[in-house]
Amino acid sequence: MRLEGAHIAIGAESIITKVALWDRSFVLKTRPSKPYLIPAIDSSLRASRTSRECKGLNVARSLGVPTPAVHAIDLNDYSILMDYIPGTPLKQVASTLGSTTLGNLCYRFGRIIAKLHRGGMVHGDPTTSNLLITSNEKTWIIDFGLSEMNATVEMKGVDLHLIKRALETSHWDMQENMLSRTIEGYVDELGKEAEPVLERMDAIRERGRYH
Amino acid sequence: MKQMSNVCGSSILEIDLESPRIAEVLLDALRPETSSAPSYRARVSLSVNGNWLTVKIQSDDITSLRAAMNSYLAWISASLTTINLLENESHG
Amino acid sequence: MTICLGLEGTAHSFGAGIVSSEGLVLSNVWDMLRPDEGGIHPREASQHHAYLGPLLIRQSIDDAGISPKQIDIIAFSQGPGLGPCLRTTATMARSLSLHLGVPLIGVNHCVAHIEIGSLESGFNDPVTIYVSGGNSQVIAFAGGRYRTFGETLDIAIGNMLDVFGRHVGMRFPAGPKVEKLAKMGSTYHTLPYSVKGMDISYSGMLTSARRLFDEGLPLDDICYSIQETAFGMLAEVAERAIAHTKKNEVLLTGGVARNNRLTEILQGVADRHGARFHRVSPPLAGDQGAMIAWTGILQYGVGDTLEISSSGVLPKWRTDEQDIGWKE
Repeated sequence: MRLEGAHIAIGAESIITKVALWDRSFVLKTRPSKPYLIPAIDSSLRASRTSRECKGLNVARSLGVPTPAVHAIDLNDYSILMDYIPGTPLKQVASTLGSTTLGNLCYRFGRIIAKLHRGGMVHGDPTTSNLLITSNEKTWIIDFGLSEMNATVEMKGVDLHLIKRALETSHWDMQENMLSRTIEGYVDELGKEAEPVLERMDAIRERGRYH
Repeated sequence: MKQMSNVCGSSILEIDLESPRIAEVLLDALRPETSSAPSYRARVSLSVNGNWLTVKIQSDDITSLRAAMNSYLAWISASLTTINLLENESHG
Repeated sequence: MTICLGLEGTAHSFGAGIVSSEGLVLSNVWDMLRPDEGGIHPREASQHHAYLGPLLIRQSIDDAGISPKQIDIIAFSQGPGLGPCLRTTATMARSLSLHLGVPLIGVNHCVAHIEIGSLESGFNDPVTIYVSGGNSQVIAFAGGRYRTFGETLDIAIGNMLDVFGRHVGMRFPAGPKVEKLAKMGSTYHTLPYSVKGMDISYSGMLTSARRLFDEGLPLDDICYSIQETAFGMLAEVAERAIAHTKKNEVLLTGGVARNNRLTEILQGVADRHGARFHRVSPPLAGDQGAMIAWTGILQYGVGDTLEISSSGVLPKWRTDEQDIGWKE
């Protein structure tokens, strides 16, 4: 896709450009090549993540989770054109919020992840950078490049483990409150179904060393 | 310590050391290990009387009894050898 | 000047090293148990430590050219690691501390890898990629602690290489042999590439790589595919950690840091982000006592010493549970 606009974020993973079309704002998300990967791995990852993102955004919305709508996808240059959400990542605003407001947003984050899980889907990168808060305090979730379908308890447990990890590394001084409210939202949404996933989350944390 | 009704075996290691001081060093060095015995099936208590260090091991089964004995003997031997080697003049 | 004797014994290596408060490594000796088959056997390794530990401790003192009386502090690897190994090491450390009448310091093994690497490189605040037989972690300093940004969700990279190596008849450790064969490989066979958030998983690619070997594909091509996949995953999470923390130093350490292809890839990642890169030299990258001794000196400087009675080992000690009072 050839569209002019301003880069609003260049992460490790993608280039996000804000573009204006038809008097509206959109986001063009492009996955550039990673020169440290051999071409065979690089191109297959760019293609699969672009396609997963497109699918993930749509499936999530069908499950009642607010995501930007996808308007176009180009698998030749690994780009997606989607709605621009005028929001701020939770990561950026967390420290400016009161603990009740922050807790409520985390609670909603937990419910969102639970809705995805109930629909058999994991987000794959559920960090506070990927939860956007708009001025009316609506929560949107983005960045589905690592999302997967047909989720098992293990995959869901990993998703929760990743939330815990993101809170530890980005919000260490508020992590207890944020984690407990997130889990509360997750459990309220899923009920008994949440139990095996929570158990798996704890088990995953113990792994990774000396086997 | 909780008295267990299902103790299968026990053993007592009595070690004669060169001085009461060395016996006390070993007692203190080993004590933190008694709070978590090599296996949860073994319970260990330590005491010193003069030059003598006593290690009393009780266990629910022979396998863990033997494992605990091996561990304590290895630790005692390693610690004693370390201390003895320090006393020697340079080997180089 | 303060002189510290450090004992390392968390897994299959036992090491003793002596470091001064000026940051001079006066001696550093170690021995690694090489199992004939299978992975690390905790009890065998602890027996190895009990048997060779005293000799290595004496050798470290002789190599440093000091007398035991000149030792001011004893530091030991209190965790994380294999229980039996940790306990043998801890008991020797306590005996030394009591016998010499000097303070005892409990050091976190992962923190020690970062600190000795920082000493060698002169880095102040790196993103550390710590890769070995037992660990694969991306760690950085944030909020007064070293925090694990990413790690393996199942097996460590060195373990993956060793298990594959054993399957195809290589000796332990298999990493160097895999690297050698990979240089001769050129055909990439797809292996599961598994990055989740900043975490990675190696068990899926291990299973697939074994299957490729059983199907009779050339071993050099499989080794090439394993390296490119496994290192690519590490590079990606390292890049995400650099982008996330905005730090400008990258440190590669641990036994697998010897691999030249991994080094080349991570050097490239660092360059892309304008970050300085350092690979810790082999004698300080593996598990050894100098890293424990140096971290012991740093902890001693902020009064972080242990009472003998509360110096029990911590097999599951997390990196972010150690206060890093000597930084900032």
